[in-house]
Amino acid sequence: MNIGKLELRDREESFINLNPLQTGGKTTADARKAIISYIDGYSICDWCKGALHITTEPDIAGFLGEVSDFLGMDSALPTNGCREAKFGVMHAISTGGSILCDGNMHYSSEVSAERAELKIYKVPNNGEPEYKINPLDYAEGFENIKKETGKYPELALLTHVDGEYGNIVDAKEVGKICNDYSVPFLLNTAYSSGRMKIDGKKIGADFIACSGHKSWAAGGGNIGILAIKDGWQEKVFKPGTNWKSKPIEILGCSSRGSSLLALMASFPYVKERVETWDDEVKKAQYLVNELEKIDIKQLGEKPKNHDLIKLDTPVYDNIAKTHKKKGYFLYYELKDKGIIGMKPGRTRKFKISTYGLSWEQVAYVAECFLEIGGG
Amino acid sequence: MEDVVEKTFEMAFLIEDLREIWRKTAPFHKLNDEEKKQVLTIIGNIKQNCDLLSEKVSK
Repeated sequence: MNIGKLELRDREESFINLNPLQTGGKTTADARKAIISYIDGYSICDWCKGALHITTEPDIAGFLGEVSDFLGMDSALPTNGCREAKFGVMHAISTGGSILCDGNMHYSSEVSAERAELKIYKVPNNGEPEYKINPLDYAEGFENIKKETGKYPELALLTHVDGEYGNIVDAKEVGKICNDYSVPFLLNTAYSSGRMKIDGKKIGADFIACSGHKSWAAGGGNIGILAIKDGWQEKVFKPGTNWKSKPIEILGCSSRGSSLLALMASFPYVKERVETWDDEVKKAQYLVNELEKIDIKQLGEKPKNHDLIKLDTPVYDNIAKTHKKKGYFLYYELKDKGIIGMKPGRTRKFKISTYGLSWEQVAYVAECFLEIGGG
Repeated sequence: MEDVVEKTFEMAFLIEDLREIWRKTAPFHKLNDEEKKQVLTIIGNIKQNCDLLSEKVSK
């Protein structure tokens, strides 16, 4: 079935989708209803009060207050995505100094820092097979930067859960070090907030960047959140000189469309789902235990504490060597069994996510992977 | 809101509820008793809205 020249997308309805980029952004029925209703350009602006974040019909202002509380922060703005939230903070803070980031950071953190003219320093991970970030290395990183430049960095960034291995770093520990050194702390929660509980105050974060389309069951476009602690409003939420209601860092109004409504519509569901995070972790652990019965090894921290799973899979790589479909066999065999989300052609190392699947679906996924691997 | 418009949105929303059930039961859509009941209720409500719309535009 087509929509003009576009192919209909039915991945979520017809398959079990394991793509880690997509599992946490799968929309709720209410989000899709909101998108249908607010699909026209600027429909969110019917009752504009001068800026998106102060709009009360629909109640964006009230929603942002609730989101701040939910994240344990003091105020929040909608952004076009998590990367725009990170860039907003970096741009507001930067005087051309440096930033200390974790070595597992997303590329968008790195290009944001570059665009904000911050010199990037990294806390390395501990290498194969766990690739873990040690929070205590932030103190060493601060000291090294001070030795080299004469100043501590202007900002520290931690990727709470990285998108490669799904490792969770102890953000509270990093927050404590940042607070001890008086270095502002930006926490990237693209793969954590919206899936698990986050309390920015307990963590000691000055800024939290979130991804609505990655982890808050929102769609219909890009949507992010930037939440901050009291004391940073003047710098980070600073309005334009001649436009007092328009925050500079989000260019006045950010996500002016249905994706913000989708985020708002999914929020009640998101508040509920973070309560069942432990079960999501158990599903990921179950799948890893099953898959490691054959020649498959999970990379990243063990045991798994997140649904994003990186696998080293010599078993499929060996099959690919003699299979007529070569490296594509795994993708097509899984697809025939109703499972999708793998990158076509990958057989040696790949990432999957069990987020939001039922136990029955996870058991079926395990069964299929084992069957294809000859287990 | 005009009745015809409201009924049209109501049907679009019912389709989203139906879509949700296919998402939760992918890839085989083996429905349990509760899900079967939900699907039949949704279809019934869509039919009812279709009948109301047909009646309205036929007048």
